[in-house]
Amino acid sequence: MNSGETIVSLSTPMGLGAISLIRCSGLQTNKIIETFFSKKFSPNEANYLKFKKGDQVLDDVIAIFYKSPKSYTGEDMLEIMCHGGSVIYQMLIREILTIDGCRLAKPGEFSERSYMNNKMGIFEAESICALINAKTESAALAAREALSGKFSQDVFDIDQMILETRVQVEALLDFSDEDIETEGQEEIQDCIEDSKKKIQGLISKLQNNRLLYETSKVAVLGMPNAGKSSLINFLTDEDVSIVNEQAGTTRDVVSKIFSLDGIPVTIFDTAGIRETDDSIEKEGSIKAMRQAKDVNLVIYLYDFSIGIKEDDMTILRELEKENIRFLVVANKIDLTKQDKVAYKSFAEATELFISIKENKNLNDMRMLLIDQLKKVISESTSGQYHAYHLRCLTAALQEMDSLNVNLNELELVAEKLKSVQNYISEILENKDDDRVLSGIFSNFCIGK
Amino acid sequence: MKEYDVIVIGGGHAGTEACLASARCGAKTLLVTQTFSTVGQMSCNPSIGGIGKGHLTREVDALGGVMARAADASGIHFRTLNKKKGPAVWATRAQADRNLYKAFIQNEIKYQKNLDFIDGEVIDVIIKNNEIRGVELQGNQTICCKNIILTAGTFLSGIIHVGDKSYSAGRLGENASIKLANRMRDLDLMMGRLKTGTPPRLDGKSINFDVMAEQPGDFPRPVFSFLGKTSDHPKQVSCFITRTNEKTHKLIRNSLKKSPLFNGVITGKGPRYCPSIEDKVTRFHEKNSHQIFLEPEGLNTDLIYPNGISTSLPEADQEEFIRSIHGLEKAKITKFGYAIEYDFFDPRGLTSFLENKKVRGFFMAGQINGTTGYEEAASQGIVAGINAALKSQEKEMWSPRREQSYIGVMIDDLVTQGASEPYRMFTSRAEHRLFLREDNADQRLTKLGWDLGSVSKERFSAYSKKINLIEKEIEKLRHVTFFEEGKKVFAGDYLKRPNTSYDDLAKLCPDHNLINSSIGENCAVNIRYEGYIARQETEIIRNKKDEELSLPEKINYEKILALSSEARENLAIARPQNLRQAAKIPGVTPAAISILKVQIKAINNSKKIASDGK
Repeated sequence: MNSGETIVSLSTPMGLGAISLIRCSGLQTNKIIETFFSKKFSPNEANYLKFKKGDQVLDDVIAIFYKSPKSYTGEDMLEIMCHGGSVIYQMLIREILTIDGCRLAKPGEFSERSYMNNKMGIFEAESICALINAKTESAALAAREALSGKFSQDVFDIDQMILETRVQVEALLDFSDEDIETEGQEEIQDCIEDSKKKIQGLISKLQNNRLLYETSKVAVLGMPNAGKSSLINFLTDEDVSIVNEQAGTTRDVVSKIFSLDGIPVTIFDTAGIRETDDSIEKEGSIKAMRQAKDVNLVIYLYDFSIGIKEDDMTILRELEKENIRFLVVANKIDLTKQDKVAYKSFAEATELFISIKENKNLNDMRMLLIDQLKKVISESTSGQYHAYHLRCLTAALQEMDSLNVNLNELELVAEKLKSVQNYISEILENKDDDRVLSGIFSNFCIGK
Repeated sequence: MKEYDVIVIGGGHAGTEACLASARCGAKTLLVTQTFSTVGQMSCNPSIGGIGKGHLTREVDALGGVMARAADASGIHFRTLNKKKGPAVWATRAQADRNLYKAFIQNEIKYQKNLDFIDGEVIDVIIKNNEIRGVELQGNQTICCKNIILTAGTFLSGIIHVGDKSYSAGRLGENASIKLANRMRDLDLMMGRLKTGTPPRLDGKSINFDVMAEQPGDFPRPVFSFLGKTSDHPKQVSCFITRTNEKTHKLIRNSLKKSPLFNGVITGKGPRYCPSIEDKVTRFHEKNSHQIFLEPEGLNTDLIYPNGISTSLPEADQEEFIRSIHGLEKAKITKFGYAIEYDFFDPRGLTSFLENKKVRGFFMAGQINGTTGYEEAASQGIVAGINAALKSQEKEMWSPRREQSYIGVMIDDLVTQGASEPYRMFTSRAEHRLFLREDNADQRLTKLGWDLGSVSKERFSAYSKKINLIEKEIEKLRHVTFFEEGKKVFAGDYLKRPNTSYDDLAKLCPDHNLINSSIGENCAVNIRYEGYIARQETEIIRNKKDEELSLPEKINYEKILALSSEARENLAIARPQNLRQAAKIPGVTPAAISILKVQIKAINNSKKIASDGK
């Protein structure tokens, strides 16, 4: 009853709770047990033991093996309960994925397999389909989150570079009897070296930024001098940025990692957003908006004594348009008792009225934030995608390492480049078989 | 009245392979053509093979087809393309003497058992209860049959364009099949319109070959068929190469508004691999010269086919630009170039057996399915021929697989993606290029062809002997050693290096008894790629189970609301047979595949309940 591929996934929300549960299902289940545990498992028994990579102990876990067909999916299954938090499960999933034939589960795939193997009521087809769709949406979000902003641009760039090289190589193979001017061995070698460097760079970036994927991300946005830096200082108990009365002091994005009631959080201080002639400040604003797209939650802060202005509205509308989760918070309620609010719709959306200076309602602020973050966390499994993306990139790099451009073996170069592109496509989730041919036909005059 | 198992309509490359294959498989077969004298005609360039196309030709041969043997019997110039690269992309190409080629094919048809042929024009196909019952010929003659293979090429509502002149025709000088085309329209099949073109033909006596580069055939000379040998080949001749120049391009640009391709007269879609010289000078205007191959059309004719300048300009303009080319200053045009527009049927209306999804027993092959090229047509012909025969014998039909052959790649592409431009084979279309080689086409397909009934006893026993020899030799090569700079090297490992060949072993391992050089080379190639192929094979096996899940015929995609509307729409048009095909369809994401899997299961479950209840 085992499917060809073994699927692996985190099945508890990331970062919360004392334990994380990793599930594996499929043919390679026994291979996983053999590889990481020095013990044979009897079905349905809880085993308390060490998850080992060679001699190195990665975690103390409880693992249960279910033998096909007596499992949720009907296949051989393994459940590993490891320590909570967001570091450990990622590490374990990364290791499991190195086993040949294992991959990250597609959204809803455990339930799908369960259905396929008659472990579910036969009339549940529609609900399974709905589940697959719902999970696909949240998975797409998580995958995008794991590959936020600049990183995904890097991956697109690599994808494009590989594609261009393949166009040259494939043209040389399929149209060598035509009168076309392709690049030579050296240029192809150079292109490959360039893409290799880019992939290496991206891998180390992803590795260095691992912490980012293991925390929830919050950005504080607002007009200059709304009190953003002060709010962050309050939340983190530290001076993150210079707090200055003069508007527009924070000109770049500053980030800080801290723990909020046990939840690891990266908070981003952004430059105040507003239309300005000051070019440095303008650049800061663009950065801030870009940052907003890469976080789980935005706190939008405004000065209550001034009220919500058209500038604020512009930003709030954009946040709404981009489907970014945000909280509207009014600061400086100490300065006025009058409601000067001009724009009703978002003023009504204000969740909280605080004064950082006079320490008013700040505890409520903290509670509200924790509450919101818990919601965000339970939706996010981006960490496993981070692990998966790293794995794809590493595999692509390995393929390129074994690549020697020799015109006498150009077909091997072509095959390897194709598999590099496949790994990159797995990250970008694109399928387009016609891209290479299209590239050839637009670059070269083909056709006798 | 006589009754047939299979009737093949059309005697081009698809039709001839189809009727021969059907007859070989034991079905009583009839070939109907307008005139038998044009059967096996090469209506475009006089050559067979090339990169991707040579691969197809070898596959057709491995299945017992005629094309490669005809090319050997008529080839007057042979080359192996891509010889400087690895063996997976080596490709055979031959210039053929048109008359010898045609004669060989016609002869095969005359002497094939189970095969009759008549001259006639089919004007109707008789269909009852969505099943083929027969055909009606011009002159009120009806012939009954269970299966039809339609291979009408460009004959369905073909329109030829030369400059501002246009007229209905199938090929230059032959009638289009208008009645049949109209009848096909009534069947409400998905149709489209494509275009293609040919260059003018030149009188060789008027060409100054002395100023051109000569291109002789290759030595050693390649052979096309697995049963062929160089002694089958007629006398060999050379091709010549010249180029267009700035003056040529200027003339063409000035005439563009007279080209039906450019003034909007032709609406059918042409390929992106621009076939006309008008296309070339417009789309690649920075390129100031294009290559022209001057290919002899035969040994007993002076006709020359100038490959690279297909055109539909007015006759006077054709003459003018031709004469601007080096060596063609005094060239006489014997036949002018033309563009032809024709109907084709959206191949997504076919199963991978090449049978129509609506009408049982109605097979289609060749250019009418949106492909271009003799080899592409022949490959479909042999598949349709085999399957129509199998069907008439109530046997299970054959669906060629992508990882098994280029034929499989092509048919899978056609039935899942349709043809948005004339479809031509390229090696980059194949996922398993290192395995799908010319040299091992017999190892991939001949046993299968034998089981299907399309391979002769003679071919199969020759193949079995060869396979035996290969297996033994490969085993030996893994153990034979020699010393290189004081280190022991296995012959097998040596052969994995680039630029090595089996023949090198004569010097390196003098004690090893070498076998026939071409079979030995085949062993070497097998060894060279074995690591890569093994890796691809594990992937194929891993995904096979899910991919083979077949989609029930009655599945109603419009009602599966969990799918995106794009996926619903494309699935409803293509109606894939299994999940592997479904995954190739635009808009079908991995999530959509999961949803389809669940739907298949649900449908099968409800069937089971229904039958349990009875």
